[in-house]
Amino acid sequence: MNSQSTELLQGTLDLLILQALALGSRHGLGISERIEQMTHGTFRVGPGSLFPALHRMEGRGWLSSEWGHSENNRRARYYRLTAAGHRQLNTETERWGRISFAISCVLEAR
Amino acid sequence: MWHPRQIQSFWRNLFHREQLERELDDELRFYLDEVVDRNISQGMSSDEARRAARMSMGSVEQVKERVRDARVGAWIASVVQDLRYGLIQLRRNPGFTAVAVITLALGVGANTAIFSVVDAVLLRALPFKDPKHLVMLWETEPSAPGGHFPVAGPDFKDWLVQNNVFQNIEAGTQDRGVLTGSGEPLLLTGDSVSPGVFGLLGIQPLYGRTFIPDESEPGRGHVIILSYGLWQRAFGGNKRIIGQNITLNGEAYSVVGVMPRQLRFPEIWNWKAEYWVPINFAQPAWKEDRSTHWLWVMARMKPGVTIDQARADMGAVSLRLAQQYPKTNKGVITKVVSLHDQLIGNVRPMLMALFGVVSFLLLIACINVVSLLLARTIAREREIAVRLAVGCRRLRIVRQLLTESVFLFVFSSVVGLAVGWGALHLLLHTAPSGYIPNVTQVGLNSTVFASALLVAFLAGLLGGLVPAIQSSRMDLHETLKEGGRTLSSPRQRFRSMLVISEIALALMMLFSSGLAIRSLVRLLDVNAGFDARNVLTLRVFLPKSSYPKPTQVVSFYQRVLTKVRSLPGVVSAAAATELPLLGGNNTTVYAEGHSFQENGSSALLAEICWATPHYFRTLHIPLLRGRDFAASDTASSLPVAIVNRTMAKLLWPHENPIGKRFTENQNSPKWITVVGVVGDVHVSGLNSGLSPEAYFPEYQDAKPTIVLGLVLVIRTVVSPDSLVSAVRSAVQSIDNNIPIYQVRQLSEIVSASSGQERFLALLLMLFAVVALLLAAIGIYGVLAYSIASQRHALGIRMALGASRPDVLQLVLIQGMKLAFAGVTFGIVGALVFSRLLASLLYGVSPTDPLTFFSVSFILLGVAFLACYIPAHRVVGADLMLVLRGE
Repeated sequence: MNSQSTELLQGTLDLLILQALALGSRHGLGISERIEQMTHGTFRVGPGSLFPALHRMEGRGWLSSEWGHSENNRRARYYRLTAAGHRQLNTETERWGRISFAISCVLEAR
Repeated sequence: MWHPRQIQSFWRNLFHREQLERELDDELRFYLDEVVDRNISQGMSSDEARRAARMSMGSVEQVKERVRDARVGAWIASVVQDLRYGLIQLRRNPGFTAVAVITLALGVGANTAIFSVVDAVLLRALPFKDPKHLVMLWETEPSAPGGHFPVAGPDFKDWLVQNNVFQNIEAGTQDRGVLTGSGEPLLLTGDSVSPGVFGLLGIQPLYGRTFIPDESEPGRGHVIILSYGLWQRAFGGNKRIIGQNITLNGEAYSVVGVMPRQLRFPEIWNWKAEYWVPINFAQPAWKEDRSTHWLWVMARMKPGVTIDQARADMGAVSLRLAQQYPKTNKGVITKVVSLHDQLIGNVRPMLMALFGVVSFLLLIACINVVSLLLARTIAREREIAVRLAVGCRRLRIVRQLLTESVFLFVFSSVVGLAVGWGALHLLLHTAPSGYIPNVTQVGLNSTVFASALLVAFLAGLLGGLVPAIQSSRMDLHETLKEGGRTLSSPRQRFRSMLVISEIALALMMLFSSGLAIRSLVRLLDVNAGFDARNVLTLRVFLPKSSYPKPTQVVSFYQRVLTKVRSLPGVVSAAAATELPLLGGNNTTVYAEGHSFQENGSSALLAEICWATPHYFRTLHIPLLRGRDFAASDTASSLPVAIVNRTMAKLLWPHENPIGKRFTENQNSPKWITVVGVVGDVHVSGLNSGLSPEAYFPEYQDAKPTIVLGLVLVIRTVVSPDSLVSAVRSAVQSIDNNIPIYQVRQLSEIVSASSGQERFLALLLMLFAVVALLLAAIGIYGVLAYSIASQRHALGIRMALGASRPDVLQLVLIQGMKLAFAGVTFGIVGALVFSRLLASLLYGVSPTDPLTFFSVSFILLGVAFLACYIPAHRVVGADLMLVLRGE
């Protein structure tokens, strides 16, 4: 992993991956780049964390994958959200909203 | 949720590892190549690009390893989730869970108990060295009843020398002894054996040594080996007994060894040896007497020799002997039996029958549980429909239902194993002795555990498959609309099929038990030939050292009997060497002057027994001709005998047997004159045929070793038990060193002789009753559900004018159709199965029509009841409630 990136909790990584796929399917590198883009460079996920997460989430039924061809015609594995994945994304988004609201309340109360 | 692709990936995880690895490889390579491209487009050279890409990616192997871990973890996590969900479901329906678990536990428990016995007795090898090469040799004649008889001494000696197929042959026989000098005198059973027997079987002593070859020479034979049990019982496990002398039958024997605790020396003729002494080769029976058959013979085949080769070789040997000694050995052939068959052969059919029956029981239990599962998924339709609607994949639901059913089955099996353990101990305690051959330790072992769990797993998979698949194929709309009460006919048909098979199996089990019961009744009906009521029996054993002369033995018994006869309450008393029904000695006899068989052999195998006067009177064996023994029949008077009716008919069919003569030994004929004929008595058991039997007066030239121990029979006016102490004092007043043993009423012996049939009938009946109950529950369940779902239709019928009895009849007919179908299949199955039982039955044909009818009747009756109860409940319900669809 990039030594500059902040440590990610597993749940957070899941959320980022889910969000990255919210609008369509991507291959592994594409997911990593999208996360970097969405977080404005704060989180850069290397293959050592990304691929285990992708396969784990596929095992839990949140993602599905299929082989396809990339822009420059290489064989690549594309991931996409399943229905359950969409629901998980909503649940996680909501949870994060509550957590961040709570923390900001605490910080403001100082 | 799960795609079909996920199921594919699950399989791939197990079976297509390589393919998965290759795909992962491709995926990571793609990633690397893309990063390289990006680097190049940022201006690096291709080498730099590649190096930078590799560095940023880190170790590829490590990535792969982490992906592999993640995959396994995900899979385990989802299985755990299924299990947790399943557990919650089971807890939420305690009634269903309890019934299913109990039903299965009963089936598994019964199966476990019987299978443990089958495993220990039939499947495991005997606990001796290289047991497959061990055989037993017997002599037999085409005319011999009972299959074979023991071997004559000189024949054994010749076999030793003349055979080509055995590397070791040993012999032995039963022995009885009284141990004195350490506490109460003990009457023991033992084996007198040739010295190499332990080496033959590969048995090492726990302490000390086994016999050496010259210990069967005269004068060297007073050594003894103790069994572990005897060593503990009589000598407190004291190691110092080795090398010391003990007193057996009044003579000193030096203890040379103790056998290990777990030794199970072959119990030939169900004789359990507590001690071993060497055979005395100098006994007269070893000399040239080829007509006294008294030895069992065990042999080890040379490596590479098969039992058929052994049979062929021994066939040639016995042919040679027959030619050399035509008077004794004509027509005598050798029978070779593997030791395993010898010890367990007669138990195999019974155990297989039991195992078959108990497997049926388990099948019925499984069918019931599957039916319950089906009913439950019907009840859970709503829940499943909702899950399907929200997007859960069908296969996921199937997998989850399967997990539940497998868990249920495995859990019930574990409970069943505990039940089985208890049942096994009960079985071992209550079985009549000798019922389960004592060859290896019977208990729950790893084989039993493993097979029970494996069967449970498979049963859970198979049993849960149909309900799971059916539930996932539901039509969502229908289910959600009607509130889950649709009558989907394929499902009902499947359940009906289940019930029909249950009933068929139950019928087969009932039929087997019916046959066993009828067998038992027939057996008990057999006229044993004597009257066992109010007869006391006991054994007395005289030590040879105190009674070395036959006249002393004779005098002892005469005085004892005189005393006993004078006791108040005694009608008559006598003594004999054996009691009826318990087996005895036999020998070949030759009638004077003629041969009675077509093949020219004039020898007849007859049972023999020595008896005192009044023996027949005491047991109420009818004296048909001539006279009983008298005090005048002594060692110095004419040798006489009394024969039974069968022997008289065989040897002198058209003549008066009184005055005719026969002999036991053709070589130096000592003629014995017949003075009386008595009725037949069953010698070895009620189900053995009637054999010819000769009785000799006990006071005449009897072989001293046998007559030292006699059985007293005493007919009393009232309860025989009340006279035991009086008899004991009478015996001890003659010689107070003589205790009495084995005090039993003759009626107990008679009922014990049918102990095995009784036990089998009991077991089969028990299993059949449980099966009947389960089948009744099964039919009740199916019918109750079917009626419940037809309530609406039935209610309308009644509103349109059908009377209650009409509706009741309609419902009953539905149910009884199932029952009749089940009974029909069951009868077909029973006809097949009972053929296997044929060898266990007595006096009953395996296709006995009376049993068929009564058993079918019972089953139909129970089925009727099971149908009537739910039918009655529905018909009695309030019409309006029914119509409103509550």
